[in-house]
Amino acid sequence: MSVKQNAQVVILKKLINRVLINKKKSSLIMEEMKKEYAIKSANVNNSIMTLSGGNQQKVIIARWIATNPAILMCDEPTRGIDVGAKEEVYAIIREIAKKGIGIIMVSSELPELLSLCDRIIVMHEGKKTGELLQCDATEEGIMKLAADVG
Amino acid sequence: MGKKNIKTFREFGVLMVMVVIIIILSVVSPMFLKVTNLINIVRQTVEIGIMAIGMTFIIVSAEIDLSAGSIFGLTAMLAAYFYKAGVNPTLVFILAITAGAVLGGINGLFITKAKMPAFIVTLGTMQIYRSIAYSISGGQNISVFPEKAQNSWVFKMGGSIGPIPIQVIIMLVFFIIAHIIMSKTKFGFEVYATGGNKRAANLAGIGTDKIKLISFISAGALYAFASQISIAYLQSVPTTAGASREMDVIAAVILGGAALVGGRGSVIGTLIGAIIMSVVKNGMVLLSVPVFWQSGFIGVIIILAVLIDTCISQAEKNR
Repeated sequence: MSVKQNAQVVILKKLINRVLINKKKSSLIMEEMKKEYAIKSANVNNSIMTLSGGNQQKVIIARWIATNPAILMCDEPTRGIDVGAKEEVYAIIREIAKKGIGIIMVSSELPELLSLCDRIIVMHEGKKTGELLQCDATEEGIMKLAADVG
Repeated sequence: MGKKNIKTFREFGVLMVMVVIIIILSVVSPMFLKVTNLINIVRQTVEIGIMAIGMTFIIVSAEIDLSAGSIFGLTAMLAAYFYKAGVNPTLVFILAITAGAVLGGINGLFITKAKMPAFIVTLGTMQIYRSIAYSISGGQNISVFPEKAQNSWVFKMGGSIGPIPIQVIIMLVFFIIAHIIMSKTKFGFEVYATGGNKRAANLAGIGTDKIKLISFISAGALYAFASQISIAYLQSVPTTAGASREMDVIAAVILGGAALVGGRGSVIGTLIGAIIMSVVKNGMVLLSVPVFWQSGFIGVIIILAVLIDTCISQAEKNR
């Protein structure tokens, strides 16, 4: 599927007047998304596979935010993308949080948890072993809970 | 192609193939461009064309339906049996379309609920449906329908308005509606998404099983509609009605630029593919190509068309 189709597949209802998809509105929303999330794509009608991993991820985050959610759940939002793109994704996540959208983030990368999260819940083999606020969270403390040796 | 996307370009490709074939034929055969011959060609396109619309939905959603010809045959036979028995023609027509939808739905249920591969399911139902058709007919052709059926609107579909066969108008209406559905509605969008990447479509909240089921049901209804047009026109149903028709239908869809892996294809392309099939068949008759070679030649065209298409998409990938 193209970049545009991927970006709009979850907000089709917004693009439809009566039964038909409104092409103009769909292009307009795509342009806004590209600008707001700095998505680098030469032609939004090309396959999404032609984008870099980071840009693919940005398209996917953008499309779910377009549904006006109250909570966004990100499962390993930066897995397999390069360092620069990671920073961009972090910036987007902070932006979203500022808008008042709650974010549940699942990650196995400690630095990103420490820099992004207000509250960290650590689990060990399927059970919650502890809960830390950002001010008391350290890599060491998290690892202790994760290994369940605390 | 400037701003236009790949899809439009693909249709442009098959359109060119069609134009080239038509030009060649009109040069070598003086009969070809005669109005009666052209009308004949479009008329021959109708059954395969309407069936190919249903097949387009199925193939774009990354499935396949080998039972198309058998559903065509069974619904034709069922309808013929009831027309002959003197049942109200409108009722028979509705029954036939419903039967087609149910038969298609059975395929769809096995594929989506039991997670069986479409190739296997429809390979089985192809034979089952055919057997049921044989047993209804008792191995005999059904023809010579009662007056009541002959005079009904259902049989009028075989007639013409002026020089234009009504069935051609019906086919065009179907193609226009199907084109709008596939390119401009939520359902069409979701068919492409389902075929493009089923897992991603699922994660985006699309009920891919539902989409596939609806595709199979509507395809079944369309095969049945084609069979009713065939009865209206031929006024006779042979026991082998529609046998191996699925291959022509699949070929038309593939010629039209659809990919068997799904996610790609269009209704317009399919229409052009279906026209190419009947133009080539007609041309071979006009040029008195030996009967033995006619289907072989169709095979050559299918392979060539897909070869060209594969080369184009490889080139696009490498660019």
